[in-house]
Order: sequence, then structure tokens, then C-alpha cells
Amino acid sequence: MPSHTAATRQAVLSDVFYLVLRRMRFPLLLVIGVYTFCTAGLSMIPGTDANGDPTAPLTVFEAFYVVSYTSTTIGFGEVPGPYNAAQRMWMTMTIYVSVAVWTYSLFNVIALLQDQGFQNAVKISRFARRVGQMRQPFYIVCGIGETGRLVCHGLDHLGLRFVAIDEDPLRIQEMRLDEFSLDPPAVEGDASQPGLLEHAGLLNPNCRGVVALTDDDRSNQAIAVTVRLLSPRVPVLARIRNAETETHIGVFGGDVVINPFERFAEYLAAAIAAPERYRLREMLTALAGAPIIPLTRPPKGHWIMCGYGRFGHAVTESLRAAGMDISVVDNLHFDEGGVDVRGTGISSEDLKAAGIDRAVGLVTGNASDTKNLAIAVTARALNHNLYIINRQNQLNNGPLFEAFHQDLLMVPSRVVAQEFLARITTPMLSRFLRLIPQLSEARSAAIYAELAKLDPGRHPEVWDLTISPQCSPAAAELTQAGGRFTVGHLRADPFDRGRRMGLMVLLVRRGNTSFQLPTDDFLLQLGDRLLLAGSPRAKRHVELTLDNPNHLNYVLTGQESRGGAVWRWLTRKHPPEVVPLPSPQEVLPPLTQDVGPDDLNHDFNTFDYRG
Amino acid sequence: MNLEKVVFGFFITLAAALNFGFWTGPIDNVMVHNGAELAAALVASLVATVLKFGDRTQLGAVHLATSLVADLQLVVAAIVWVWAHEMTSDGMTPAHMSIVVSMSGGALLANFISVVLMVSEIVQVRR
Repeated sequence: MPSHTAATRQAVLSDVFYLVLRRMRFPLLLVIGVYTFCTAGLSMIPGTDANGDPTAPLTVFEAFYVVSYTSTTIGFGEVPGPYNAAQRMWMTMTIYVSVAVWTYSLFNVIALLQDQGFQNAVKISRFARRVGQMRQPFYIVCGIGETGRLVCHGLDHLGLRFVAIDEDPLRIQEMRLDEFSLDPPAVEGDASQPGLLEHAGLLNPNCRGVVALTDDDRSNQAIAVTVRLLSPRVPVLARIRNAETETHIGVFGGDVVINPFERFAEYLAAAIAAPERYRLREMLTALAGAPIIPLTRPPKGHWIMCGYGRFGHAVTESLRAAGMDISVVDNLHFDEGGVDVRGTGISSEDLKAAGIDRAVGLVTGNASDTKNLAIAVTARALNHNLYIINRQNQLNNGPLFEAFHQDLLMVPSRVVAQEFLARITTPMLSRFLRLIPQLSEARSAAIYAELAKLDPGRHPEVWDLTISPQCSPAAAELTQAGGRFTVGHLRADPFDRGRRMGLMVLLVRRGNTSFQLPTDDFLLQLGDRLLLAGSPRAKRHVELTLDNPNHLNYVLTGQESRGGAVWRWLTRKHPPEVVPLPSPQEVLPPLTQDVGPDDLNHDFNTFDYRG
Repeated sequence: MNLEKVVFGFFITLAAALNFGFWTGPIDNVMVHNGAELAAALVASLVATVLKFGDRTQLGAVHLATSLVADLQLVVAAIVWVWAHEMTSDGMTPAHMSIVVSMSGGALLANFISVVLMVSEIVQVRR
């Protein structure tokens, strides 16, 4: 695979090189021809000395020297001797012809440098070179509008690299001004062109995923298809706004598509019908480290939906399915049917007609932010206890919505960005999210409670892990040798095996079978893929157990070992004796106990999971 | 008949022919080798090089490479010629001339490869 990317890179560079050569062919030939002609003439005309006697003509070299400084208009004026009339005539001709030819050639080069096609070729070659130099895993973000920018910032926040493509040069420039920890390679162009995606590193083994967020559904679809065909192992997520396109693209893979309106409507219905499942999903997909915002549960009863566009349709359907009673208020879509009250909802008459007195909730779903806010303000004046859900379209209107204090805010770009980020950075999470609808409310609540304990007050980190020689060398070696490595070992603190870290295994995938929420006794095997959730500290420490044979040895046996590679090799025939992990309850000090000097080293673990 | 092909073939052959004309004769005989012919060979070689620009095939790349070698050899030969002629008190000596002619001999080899490549290309077309 690397050879392939190298070949692509070379192709782009030589594209530029050959373009210059091809364009310069005629001007260069002209320069050579004129030089030869002038030099030859000058070296043939005999000179005259001070006495008027004929002398030998200039040598070829002298003539070449004179023509060189004349044609470039440098005009040294340093001549071997004064010219006679014949020589001056020839020089006059030389001046006009050679200067003209030089100027023409020079303009040709400048025109080439200003040529749009040439500049594009140079830009793309520079971009492809930068992408090729990336040694870390990276993601390709196609389309950096509001949602794309959110995804980029999210990836940057998680410490991941990415490559951006957008058709609008203005957006690329804006992104260059954004503050990222590492300047991302960005190029303008049509991301649905397979060639450009290849330059962006689609075939690079470090490419971990593609996100299609261009403004055009068809482009997104084309990107999804291109990725599926050219690089099937790379996950791709495409935003599709129009429901009809979505069914069309479904052929290429189940979870490649996200429709923001439907997605939010689904969540909203879930928040009313099954709030615990909704909270669990929210817990896992939010940005790691963000504070947990408590959610007030949307009430059951009569709802009012203002605006019956795509969002309105999706919400109405979901709420009806969840058993709510809904009145729809709209002006534009009245003739299409399904609307109960004709009007915008800004005037109190419309809202009264929709039954605002007995309503428990209101959803504003127009494409205009000011309209949505106006409706919300009117509605709150009429019924103060109303549960209000606003749709925010423009990210920069954020302060207005913050000032209003609605109960729930729907920002389409944020919904998509959040979900894309969570899924693309942790493919295993998609699998787990699909299992959520099958969980009971009580079970969801229990899982949520566990997750909330991992990093109190904050959303935990959620990440994938594979037991393999590349990702977890020490653990892979152990399991390969047939050693017992369990989920309990994974959760044990590598500095004090009696404690458990704030770490949870949500899912283990072995071949085609999934194991949900395995217990501590669950035996891990080589090649298992795990979905983990935990505090940032637990994330760092679990890597110690997995990478460092000494830490792993301590977790398994309780014996400290400080051996290096040589010692481990010498004792490889005597595998360590596994001592069962002490149960965390026995070792944990009671909460009231004073912290002794020994415990001080570990006091950062005080928030640990306590069984 | 393609005019571009004619011009291309003409300059490749001309470069080789002029170079051969300069190179032929005893290596250190000052009287046998003509400076104007060396200058003409250099110009023809430069033109041939530029004509080969922009061909992206493998054959085109080798063509360009051989021309660049010939240019390099001839430029060095020309510099030595000018130096010997203008800067030394006794003018062109057999020692200087043998350097110039041997450099041009190297260029001749490169020119010859160019010609062989061109002919082989024609043979491939078989028409």
C-alpha cells in the first residue's frame, strides 16, 4: 500500500514538472534559435581597428557574451573594441529581436505561474505531499461548513489528525485561521472526485475514516460509494438531508448515513418514551470530558409543532409513534395536508387555536432562527410551564438561544457532528448504540449509573481496543502463549492491583459474536475487539498494563518485576504463576480512614470504582 | 508525414552528425577540429533537448536523459575550448584539444544512443 501512495504522489509532482516543460518548449526553442543566429552573425562580421584597418571578427565566445548581455537588457557596454558600421547594424537587429524574444519567454513563464490549472496542480501536489508525510492515523473530512468545522474541532480536541477538502476556497481560508493544535492539510476541490480522495490519502494505510459533509447530498453519496469501492476497510459516514437519497445509498452499507432531522426526531421521541435509553446514548456520544448536563424529561401530553418541513414531519411522526397528541401549525405547507392550524405561530391566535392552554410542550422547527425564537417567546407568555424545544439553524445565533433558556435545543449541525465523531473515532460504539433499543429502561439506567461514576460530572472517554501485537503487545503475547487475561485484569490498577480503575468494558467482539458488558471473569483472547469507557487517567493506565510486560506481570501475579527485554527472554520458559486478583472490597480502605503516607502516592485514585 | 516528427528527427540526427564531424580525426591534432562546428553541435544539441521536453513516456524520459548528457559534455568541451583559446599564452595546444575532443566523443556516444532510441521507436511502429 505505501508504494501505491508513493506512486500517486510522484504522479502529481511529475504532472507539474511536465506541465512546465511542455509549456516552455516553444519559448526556449525560440531563444536558442535567436541566440544562435545573432551570435553567428556577430562572429562573422570583420571588425575595424583605430587606424581603419580590418581586424578579425569577434570569436564565437565573445559574440555569445555580447548577445547575452544585450538580450537580457543588462547592457554592460563592455566590448572588446569600438564596432564598425556593419557590426553596429547587426547589433541593432540583435537588440530588437533578442530583447523581444526574451520578454516573450519571460511573460510565458509568468503566465504559466498565474495559470489556474497550474496553480491547482501545484496546490494539489503540495497537499498530497503533506498527506503522504503523515505518519499518525488520520481522518478525511469532506466539506467544512458548520458541521464539518465542528467535526474538525472535535477530532482536534481528541488529539486526532485530519485532512480537509472543500469546494469553497473561502472556507479553506477561514479554516486556516482557526486554531488547531496541528495545522491540518486542506485543499479546495470536489471531494466526490476519486482522484482527489486518493490524494487526500484514502488509500493510505493510516486513513481511519471518511466523513462526507458537503452541502450536496449527491456529492456525499458519491463520496460514500467511492470509499466503499476503493477502500472497503475504511469506514465512511455521509450526511444525507433528503430521505429519498438515503434509501438509495443504503445499498452500500448499513450505517453510512445520518439524516439530522430524523435522527433528532428519533432521539426526541426516545427522550419522551424511553428517557433512560436516551440518556445512555447521550452519555456515550457526547464529547469526552464535557460536563454532563442534566436533562429534564419531556412531558407526555398534548404537543404543538410549529413548522411542518422535513424536521416537522420527522418530529410529528416520532411523537405520534410515542403516543403523543400533536397539533401542527404551519403557513407554507398548509396545502400539502397534515397541518391543523394555518398560521406561522408567531401570533397568539394561532397558538390558542392549536390548544396552547392544555399543551405540555412546543417544538419550533422553522428554518429561520428569529422566527423560531419569536414563536417560543409568544408561547411562553401564553403558557409559562410549557416544555419548549427550539431548532437552531445558525451556529452564530447561539447567544440568542442561550438567553432564551429553552428546555431542549436542537442544532442540526451539532447533532450530526457529535454522532459522526463518536462513530468514526470508535467504530465499536456504533455496534453498541445499535444494541441500546434492545435494552430495558432499568438496565439502561443501571449502565448509565455505572458510566456516570467513571469520571464524575463529566462524559467518560470511549475508545476501541484490539488485543493484538500492534495495539497491546504485552497482553497479546500473554494471550498468545495461552495465559489467562481477564476483564478484571484490564480493570485492575497497574500500581495497586487491589483497586479497580474507573474503567468499564461495554462490549467485546470476537469474530462475529458480541458479548455485552462482560464480567470481571470474562477471559479475553487474541484478536478480541473491545469497547471501553473510562476516565482519561484510566485510559492512560490501561495502556500501561497492555504495553508494558512488567506492569502486566504485576497485575497478574502481584509481584513487582523490573526486568528488561533480556531478562524476560531468559525467563520466557517459566511463565509467571497467576495469583487470583484480590477482590476490591477487601483491600479498599473504609471511606473515613485517614490517608496514610503510603496511600498519598495513589490518592489520585480516590474516585475509583468501588464495586 | 508529420512535421513535428521531421523536425524532431532532423535535430537529433543533426546533433549527432555535427558532433561526429567535429570529433572525427586524430584526437590531438589542432588543425583537424573546427571550433565553429563545436558551437553548431552544442546549439543543435540544446535544440534537441528542448524538443524532448514534455514527453511523459519511459522512452521520452531516456531520450531527455541522453540529450542532457550530451549537453553537459559539449558545454564542458566549449568552456575548455574558450579557456585554451583566450586565456593561455600559447593558444590551443594538442593537450587542450585532446580534452575537448574526448569530451565531444562522450557526447557523441549520448547522441548515438538518442539516434538508436529514435530508430527503435520507428521500428516498433512497423510502417
